[in-house]
Amino acid sequence: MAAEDVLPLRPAILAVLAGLSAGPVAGFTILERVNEATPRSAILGPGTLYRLLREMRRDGLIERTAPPAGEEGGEDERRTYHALTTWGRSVLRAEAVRLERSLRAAGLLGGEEAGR
Amino acid sequence: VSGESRTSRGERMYRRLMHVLPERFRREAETEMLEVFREGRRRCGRGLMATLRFWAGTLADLVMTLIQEWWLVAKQRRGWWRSPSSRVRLGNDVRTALRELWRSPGLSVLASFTLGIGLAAALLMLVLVRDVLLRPLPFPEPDRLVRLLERNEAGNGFWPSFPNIVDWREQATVLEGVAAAEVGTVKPVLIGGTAVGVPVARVSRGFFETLGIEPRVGRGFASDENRPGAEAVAIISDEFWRGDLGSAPPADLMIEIDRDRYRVIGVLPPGFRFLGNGNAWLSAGVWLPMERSEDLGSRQSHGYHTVARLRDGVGLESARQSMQALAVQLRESNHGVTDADFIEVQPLSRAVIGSADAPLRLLLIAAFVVLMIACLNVAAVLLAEGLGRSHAFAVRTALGARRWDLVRLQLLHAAALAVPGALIGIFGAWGGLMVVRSTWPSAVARLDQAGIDVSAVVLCAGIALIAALVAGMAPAFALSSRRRIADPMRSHGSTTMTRAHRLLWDSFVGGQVALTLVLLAGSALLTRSLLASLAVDPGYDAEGVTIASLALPESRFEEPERRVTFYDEVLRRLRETAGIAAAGVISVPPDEVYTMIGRSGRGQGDDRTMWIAYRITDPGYFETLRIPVEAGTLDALSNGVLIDRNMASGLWQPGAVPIGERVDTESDMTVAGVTGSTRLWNQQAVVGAVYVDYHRRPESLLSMYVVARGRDAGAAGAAIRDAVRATDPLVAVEVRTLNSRLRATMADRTLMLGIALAFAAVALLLAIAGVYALVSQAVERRKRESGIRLVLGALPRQVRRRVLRVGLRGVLVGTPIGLLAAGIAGWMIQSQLFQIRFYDGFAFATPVVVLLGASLLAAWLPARRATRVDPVQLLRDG
Repeated sequence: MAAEDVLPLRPAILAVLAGLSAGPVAGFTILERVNEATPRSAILGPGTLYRLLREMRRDGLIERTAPPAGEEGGEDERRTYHALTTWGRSVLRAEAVRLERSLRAAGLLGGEEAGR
Repeated sequence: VSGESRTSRGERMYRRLMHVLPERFRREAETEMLEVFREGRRRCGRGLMATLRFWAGTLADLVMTLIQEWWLVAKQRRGWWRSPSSRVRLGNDVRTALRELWRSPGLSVLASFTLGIGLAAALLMLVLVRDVLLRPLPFPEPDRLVRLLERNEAGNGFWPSFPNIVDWREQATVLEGVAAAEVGTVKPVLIGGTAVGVPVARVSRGFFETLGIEPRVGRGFASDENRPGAEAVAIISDEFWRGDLGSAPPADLMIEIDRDRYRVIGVLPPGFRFLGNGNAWLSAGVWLPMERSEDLGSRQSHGYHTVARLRDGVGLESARQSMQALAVQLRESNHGVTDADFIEVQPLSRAVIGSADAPLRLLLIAAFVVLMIACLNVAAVLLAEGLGRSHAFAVRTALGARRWDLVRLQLLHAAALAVPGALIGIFGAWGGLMVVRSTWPSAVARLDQAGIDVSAVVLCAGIALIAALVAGMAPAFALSSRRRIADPMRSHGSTTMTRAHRLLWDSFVGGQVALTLVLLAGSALLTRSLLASLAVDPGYDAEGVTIASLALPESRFEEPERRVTFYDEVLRRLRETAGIAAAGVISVPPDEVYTMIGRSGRGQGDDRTMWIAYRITDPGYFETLRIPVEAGTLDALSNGVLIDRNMASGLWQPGAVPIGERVDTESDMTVAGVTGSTRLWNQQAVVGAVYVDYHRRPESLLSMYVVARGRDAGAAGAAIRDAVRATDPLVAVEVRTLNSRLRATMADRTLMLGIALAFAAVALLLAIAGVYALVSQAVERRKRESGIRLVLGALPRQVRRRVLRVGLRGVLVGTPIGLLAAGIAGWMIQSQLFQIRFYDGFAFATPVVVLLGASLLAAWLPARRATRVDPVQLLRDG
C-alpha cells in the first residue's frame, strides 16, 4: 500500500503524527499538542486519547517506545512514550505534500520561494 | 511531593470509576490512562474551579469512552449477546430491576423526583457557570483584551475620561489598540419618515479593530470619518438591520438621529455585544463615530468604557507595571487635573462578569449540596424499599445467588432511576433557567446566552448515572450482607432492621439535615444582608417618584440659553399639571454616585480635599425627593451652591454650617446652604455632593433627568412625556420609576438570593420528606411490636414516643454537625455580606428552629398512626 492511499488524514491523527515528528513523546504531551492543533477535536482525556493511540498503533503509524535518554524519571514518573514508525513518517510526509499542493492550488502559498 | 510513590485520593477515585469500562479494555488501557490522568491533574492547577473543570473534562471523557467501548463489546460479541445463557441473565436482571421499580411505583416516582430536583439544581448552576463565567468572549484572542480603569489614591475606581484614553492610546507601549465607547442610550431613529427607538452608542477610533470585529456587510469606520467635520456615517447591528431595516442593502440606507442624517456603511456580525451599564452586555442598534464631536469632556469627566488589546506576548502583570509607570508619568504632566493616580488593567472577561463571579461559584457549590441531599434521600428510599423485600433476597440467596449478583441487581435498580431522574433534571433546569432569565433579564451579563444544549444534556445524563449509582451503593451492599439475608428466613419474612441498617439510615437522615442546615443558614445570612442594605436610609424618598432621562439633540440646542429655556418650560408645564406634587431636574440621579465625580476642596489655600459628585439641579429636585435642607434655604441655590452633610463634615467638621465659605479654588462657588446626604444602598465610601443651579451651567445640560412626584407613578410618567413633547417633540425621553431603577441596581444580588432561597427551600423539603419517610417506615415495620405493646398495656403516648425517637435521632445528630458546617460556610461568604457578621445569631437560630420544627411535624404525622393499629387484627394476621 502506498502512503498516499490512506490520505487525507483525520485532523486529530495528523496532529498526533506531527506532534511525534521530532521524537518520542509521552501521553499527556500528545494530548496537549492535539488539543492545541485541533481545538475542536474530541480528545477530552485519558480514555479518548488511548482509543486514538490504539487505533494508530493498529494501523502501524506509531509504536510504543522507550523514553528518550535523560527523560526517565523516578518510580512515580513512569510514562509510556510513543514514536513514529517508518510507515507513520512516510504517511505524515505524504500528507504534508498533499496539503502543500492544495494550498498552492488555492493560491495561498507563493511561488517557488515558499517551497521546500 | 514527587518521589513518594503514594497515590492521590483523586487518582484512587479515578481508578475506581474506571470500573465502569469493559473489563478487557480497562485491563489493557489502565496504566496508560492513569499516566495521562496523573499528568493532567498535576498540570491543571490547584484552585476549586480548575479542579472542577478538570473533573468535568475527565468525567466527560470517561462517559464518552464508556459508550464507545461498550458499543464495541456489544458489536464484537454479537454471538455472545445471542448466546441464550448470557442474554437470559442480563435480560433477567434488567427485567427484575424494572419489575421491582414497577412494583413500588410510589417509591420509584418519589426517588426519581428527588434525584431529578437535585440534578436540576446542579445542571442549572453548571450551565450558568459555563455560559456566564467560563465561556470565552466572542472575540478573536479574547485573553488579550483588557479594560482600563482609573483609580485614585482613596481606592475609588472610575471609568476613564476621554483625554486620558487618548494619552494612553498614544503612549502605552504594551497595548496594541486603546479605544473608547459610550454606553448607548435609546434614541428615536428616523428611517424614511418613521421613528424607531433604538439604543445608539458612540465609539472611538479603532474600537472594532481592537476587538477584532469586522462588519459582516460593508466596512468599518475609516480613520478620517472619526474626526470633527467628517461625513456622518453609521454602523448598525445585524439585529437592527434584519428587523427594522428589512435587510435592505446598506449602501442605500440613510438614518436620521437628532436631525443629523447618517449614511450606513456597515452591518456588524450577528450577536455583537459590548459592555453596557452595570452588568449589562450591551447590544446597541446603531454605532456612531465618537470623535466627530469636538467636546468629549475634561480629564475629570468619567464617562467612557475602554477596551485595549495587549501586544502579543505581553502578560497581564507586565502590562500592569508598564501602565503604572505611565500613570506616574502622566500624573506629573497633568498635575492636579487627572484622577488617574493609578491605571487599573482588568481582563475584559472579568469586566463582563463583574461582581457575579464569586456568588455564581458559591451557588454552584450550593447546587451540588442540593444534589448530595437528593442522593442521601434516594439512598434512604432505596434502603427502605429494599428492606421491604428482604424476603426476596433471602430466597435468591437460598437458590444460589452470590452476593455480587444481589449487589448488581440493586445497582441496576438504582441506575434505572437515573433515566427519569435525568429527564426531570433537564426539564427542571430548563424551567429554572427560563424563570431566572425572565425575572432577572439583565442581572448578569450574558445571561440570555445561557441555555441547555446537547452537551448539557449529556453532562446531566452522566451526573444522573453517577448520582444514582452513588445513592445505590451503600444500600446495595448493606442489603446484600450475608448476616442480613439469613434473618428473614428465620423470622418468616417479618422485617426487622439490624443495627448496621439503623446506623446507615440515621446517617442518611443526619447528613441531609446537616447539609440542609448549611443551605438554610447561608440563605438566611444572604437575606439578612439584603434586608440590612435595604434598611439603610438613602437620604431621600423614592416612593412615588418618576424619573425620566432626557437627551437634547445638539443640533437643535446649539445655543446654551435654549437648553435653559427648554428646562424652564418643561418644569413650568409639569408643575401646572394636575396631580403633580413636585418636579425638578438633576444631572446625576441619586443612585448614581460615581459619574461626574471630582476632587474638591475648600478655597483659599486650604489643602483639605475630598471626593465630590457634582450635581446640576434646581430647588424642585429637593422637594420631589424630599431631601431635607439642614441650613439655609432652597432659594439660596440661585446665588450660591448647596453642599451636602458629608461634604460639610468632611471639609469642615461634623455639624459645621459653612455658609458663606467657598469650595473649589478654580470656580467661584460660595456655600449657600447644607442639605442632607444621599447615598446608594450599598455604597460604603463617603462621597460629598455639590449642587449647582442649572441656570448657571447652561453648557452642560444636553442630557439631564427630570424627576416628578405624582399621585401615581403612571400619571407622573405620562405627564413628563407630555410636557417634553409639548415643549419640543424631538427630544428623546425614557421614563421609569425611581424605585425600578433602584431595584435594577440590586438585580444581581436579588438573583443570587433568589437562587439560594430556592435551593434552601428544596433542601428543606427533601430533608423533611426524608424524615417523614423514615418514620412512616418505622411505623409500618413496628406495627406488630406496637400492637403487642398496646395490648400489654403501654400508653399510646409511650408507643408514639418510641417511633418518634427513631425519626429524630438522625436529626439530633445532624443538627450540631450542620451548625458547625454552616459556620464555616458563613465564614466563606462573609465578603458577600453587607453589615452582617457571618456568626449572626438570628441567621443561625431561625434555620435550626425551622428545621427542628418541621422535622418534628414530619415525624409526628406518621407517628400518630403507630397507635391506630388494631391489636386483634394484627395478632390474627401475624
